[in-house]
Order: sequence, then C-alpha cells, then structure tokens
Amino acid sequence: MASLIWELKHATVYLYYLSTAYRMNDDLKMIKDCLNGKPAAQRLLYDQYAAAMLGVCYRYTKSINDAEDVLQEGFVKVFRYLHQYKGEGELGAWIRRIMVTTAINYLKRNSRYQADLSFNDMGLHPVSTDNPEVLLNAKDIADLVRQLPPGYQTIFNLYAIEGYNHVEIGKILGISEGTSRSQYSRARTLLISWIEKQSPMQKKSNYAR
Amino acid sequence: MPDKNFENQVQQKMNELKFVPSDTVWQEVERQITDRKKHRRFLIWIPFLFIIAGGSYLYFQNNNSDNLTNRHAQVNQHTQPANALRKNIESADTSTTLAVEPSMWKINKTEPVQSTEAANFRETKVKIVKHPTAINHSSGFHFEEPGLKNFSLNHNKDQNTASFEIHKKLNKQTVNDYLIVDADETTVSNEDKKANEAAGEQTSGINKKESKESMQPTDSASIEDLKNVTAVHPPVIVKKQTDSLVTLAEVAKAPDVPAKNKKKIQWGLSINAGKANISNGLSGIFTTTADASYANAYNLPGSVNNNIGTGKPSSVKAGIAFSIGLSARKNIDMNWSVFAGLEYGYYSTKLSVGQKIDSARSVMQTGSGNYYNISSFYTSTSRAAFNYTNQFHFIQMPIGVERRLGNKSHFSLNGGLIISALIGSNALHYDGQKNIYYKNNGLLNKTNWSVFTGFNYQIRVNKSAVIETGPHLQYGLTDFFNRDLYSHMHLLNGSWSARLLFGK
Repeated sequence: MASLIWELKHATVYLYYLSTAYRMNDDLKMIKDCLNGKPAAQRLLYDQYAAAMLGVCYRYTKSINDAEDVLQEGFVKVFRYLHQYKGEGELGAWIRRIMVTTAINYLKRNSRYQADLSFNDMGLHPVSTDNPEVLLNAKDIADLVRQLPPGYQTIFNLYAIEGYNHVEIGKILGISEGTSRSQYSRARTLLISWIEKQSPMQKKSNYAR
Repeated sequence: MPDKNFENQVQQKMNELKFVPSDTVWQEVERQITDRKKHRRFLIWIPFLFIIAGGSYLYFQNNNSDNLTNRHAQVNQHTQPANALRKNIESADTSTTLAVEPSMWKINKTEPVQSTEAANFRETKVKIVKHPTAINHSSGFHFEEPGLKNFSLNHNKDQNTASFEIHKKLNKQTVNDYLIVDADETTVSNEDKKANEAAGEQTSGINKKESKESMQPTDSASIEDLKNVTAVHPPVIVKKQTDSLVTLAEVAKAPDVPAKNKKKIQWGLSINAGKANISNGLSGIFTTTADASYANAYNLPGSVNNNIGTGKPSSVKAGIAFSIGLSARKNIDMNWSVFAGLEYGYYSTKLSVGQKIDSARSVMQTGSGNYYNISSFYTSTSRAAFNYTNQFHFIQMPIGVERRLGNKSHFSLNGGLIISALIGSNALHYDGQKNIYYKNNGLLNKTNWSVFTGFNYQIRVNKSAVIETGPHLQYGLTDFFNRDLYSHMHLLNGSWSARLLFGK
C-alpha cells in the first residue's frame, strides 16, 4: 500500500512536470531543479538517460546485475557532481563519461574482474585490416563484446565505441600506449572472427559453398 | 592503422543499445542522494544545537543562582547586620517553623495566582509555620502580596495549623528569630505603609466586608472562595529581639544585587603545539611516517596502481601543528565546567618532491570524468630535490566539558568537539598517471569535525588567573580529503596544550 501511494505521488508530480516545465526538454531548467533538490526533476533526468546509460554499463560488465550496480553508482555521482556541469557540452555525453569512468573503477575494484583485468604486454600483434560489414543487431554485438576477456573488452569499448585514442586509454588505465594498441588489435581480431561466424550473410555464404 | 569502418559500424550499433533498468536502481539512487542531503542538514544543525543547549543551560544556571542570592542579600539589608544574617542564610536548612497569627491578616478575594508563577521559585520550600487558631478551612490557598510573586498558605485541618511556604531559603535559626505579623501591628517603613494604604484603597467596600469576614473564616465557607483569597496587607517579618523589620514585599522587590557567589565566565588564551598527520587510523599519530595507504591516497582512482610505468609517490610524514585563540570557560559546579573557543589552527605534513615545473598540464578528475588544468607541478623522483610541507590553515571552534579529578585536585580531564573550516592550503596531490604532484584544494573537505581529549594540570598564577597545561589528542571524524576520490583519511593531532584563563 505504501509503495502504491509512493508510486502515485511520484507519478503525479512527474506528469505535472512533463506537462509544464519540461515539455520543451529544457535540460538546463531540469539541471537547475535537480540542483535545487526537486525529486521530480531528478527522476526525469534519470528516466531520460537511464536506458542508454545501462547500455553503456552493459558493454563493460559481464552481467546485467553488475551493469545495474554501475548504473546506480554512476547516477549517484551524476547527482553529486551535477553542479560541475557547465552546460558546455551535451548533458548525455557528460553523463556517459561518468558512467564509463565508474564502470572502469568498478572493474578494478571487483575481484571477479580483477583476475582477468590484466594488461600485460604480450608483444605486438599485427592489426587486422578486415572491415567486415556488421549485420548483427546491437544486443548481439554487445553480447560478443562482453565475451571478450575483461582487459580486451575494456580497451575495445574505450577505443572503438567511446572514441578514445591509445594514448588516452593508456592514461585512463595506467598502461602504456603500446599495450593498449596490442590488446585492442587482439580484441578486434577475435571480435571480427566471432561476428563473421554469427553473421547471417556469412552463414549464408558458407552454406552456399 | 586500420580503417575505422568496422569501428564506426560497431559504434553506431552500440549507441542504439538500450535497456530498461529495474525499479530498484532508481530507488537506491534516490535513497542515497536523499541520505546525503539529510546528513548535510544534520551536520549544519549540530553547532546550533550545541549553542542552544549550552546557552540554555548557562541561562538557567545563572537565573537560579541570581534568584537565591538576590533575595538573601535583600533580607540581609533590612533586618540585621549583614554578616550575621548572611552567615545564617548561607548555612540554610530546607524547612522550619514559625509561629503566626493568621487572624491578624486582612484578606481579600482576588484572582487566583497562576501555578506557573510558582515555577519562578525553584529552590525554597521553606516552611514558616504555624498557628492553630482561626483558619480551619480545607486545603491550601495562595496569599499574594504586592511585590512578592507567590507564597502559599497550607492548612492542615486535622492539626489545625497553617503553614506558609515562602519560596526562599532561610535556616532554622534565622526563621525562629522572626514572627510574621500584620503590617499594621508593626513599625514599617513609610514606603511600605504607602504601599499598603494604596492596596487597601483599591479594594471595594464589598471586598473590605468580605475581608473582615474572611479574617474569621468559618467551616461554611466554600473551598472555591478560599482558593481565591489573598492578602491585601503584606505580612511583616519581625525579628523577635530587635526592632529590625523586613516585609516580604521588600524581599521580593529587591533590586538585582550582584551575587557574591555568581559563577562567572573565565576568559583567556589557549595555545596548542605538537605534530599532525593524516592517516587512516589512530595509529598514525604514533608513527612519524605515514603508512602506504596514505601514499596511495594520493593516487587518483583513474590510475590503476603505482607499479605500472611511473613509480611511487613519496611517503608522507607528520608535520608541525599548532593552534592559538581565545577560550572561555564556565564552571557548572565544583568539578564540572564547560568551555568553548575560537582559534586559528595550523596543521602540516611533509613529503619529498622533485623540482617544480611551470608548465600547463591536465589531470583527470575521476568523480566527474573531467580534466583539471594545472599551471605548474612538482615532479616525483626517487632522488628527491627537497622536502615539501603541505600546510592546512583552519579557523576552528572547540566546544567541550572539563572534569576536575577531585574537589581540591589540580588535575582535570577534558573532551569535546572541534568544528573547523579550511581557509587555505598548499597541499600537493599525486597523479599516478603522470607521476606528478599538483595543487587542487577542491580535493580537500572544507568543513571538518574532530573529537578531542586532554589531561590538564592547573597552576594558579594569582587570585584571578590560572594556567592549565597538559597533553591533547585530536582525531578527525570527517574525511580529510574528498571521499569520492580518496580512501578514508583522518586528521590526527597530538600536542601539548596550555590555556591562560582570567577570572575567579
């Protein structure tokens, strides 16, 4: 009963905000209200970005529970540091950076990831020049990325998806640029081979032979 | 470098990736941000609560002692040589009896005295009793006389006695020396006579009649009537063997006389000097070099650890600490006292750094994911160029209690809280990615709470000045650094304190 009342209360306030102040999707007003501690604004910000950010967290972790843990921790940080957001870039990009940083810290802290999160330099690995067409849907690709060893997975995510270069990745992870390059190359090769195996077109062509 | 076509495709697909989180995620986020707000609100109110509680206590303490001492002093002025009566009063007992003649009193109906007024007289319960004559009505009722707020007459029907509860403190010997009689029967001052006459004129004829009747109350009188009876003419305390008189009105109307034994606030200076460290445990104060966790604390969480690439940060040693300021103390009783102060506090730690380089860099702030720009930094090297002192400047306010170890002991124990506000620092922070030290006061908590305890020896310099000195230990309750970026680190300060206080 109490939870029902809670839900109704929040739904009412939420609808009110949707129908008035936030119809224009005014991020700055929403941020201002969040900074003033208005629960409806906080909920709205969360609802706007939670789904996409869970997608980000999902790519860095091995289970949906871990992804939700990162999401939760990340959003607590978002609200805590919201005053530092100056409105100079997209709010979504700013939140995403926090999520990525939180995810990396989570991997470092968590013993389950610690064992595989090694960035030993295994020597240079030739970079594959393959650029296959990716026909899998987003969820399937994300699942393949998550099958990579955590070290590969993190570097692949940072380089291929977040757009960091190897120098920046080296700084973030505390590894050398060369190690980042090498591990990315291996991750890429592995992933391409898996994608090719699972790709419908590839399957079709294999079948034709 | 591979063509990023593959990467672009993956990136595009991944940006479409969305999942709806479970409800528990938001509930937990909401709980945490609400808890933080509540926590902050609570912290803001703590100093106010302390001030209100301390102020209330001191106010009531003062009020109480003033009520007593002023009345005693006034009695003393009007009755007999001051020293003799003061001596009596100071050795006051709690109750005694005195013969009275109720029939002499003129009484009149007035509004009943509010019971809350009695609360103004908290000591007392001295009974000046008794006379078994005319008043034989049930239960107690109040007498009110001009100027005297409240004293009550209780009548014991069985014993046929009446007792006054005068809310002041007299001893048995003193009270036995006096009689309470009607003012008309005695020699009183002109002022009192005028006051009595004025009071009499204000009463109506009917009231006067009622007064006369009431002087000889009968069993038929209702209890309600009796409850509203008050005296028109103030009774007078007559000293048996002398002609010295004092009315109760005079006692009550007494101007505030400075109390002889009023507990004054002592003011003075306080100085602490010793060593400070920042550690994750109490043991840090006993070591001159901070343990590894302190050094690791300088690593921003954005870096993995120290053993990849760039080296280790310097160990951190305890540095000089001192504080100086004003202090005030108020004695509560013989053994307990409360004190507060306002001080400037300086704490420091030491570390080894390389040369200073004036060059712009950016270091990553993990909490926000943003980069923090610096214009200069110190290098980290195993061949350290020089020792650097992290300095922390605070304005702080200690509040505490002190307990003397015995009535005549010179030793005392104290303890309490310190709230301190950071006003400046040159502290360096270590960036494990670039292996450099840089300044960023945003990583320091601006408000800190600490607990302290100390052991003092008191030396009396002269009649009005004392010096208290002894060891002092302070431990920070709040995290010294930003909790999101560092592990839990607390301020530790071991010092020798001295306090010079003026006032008896």
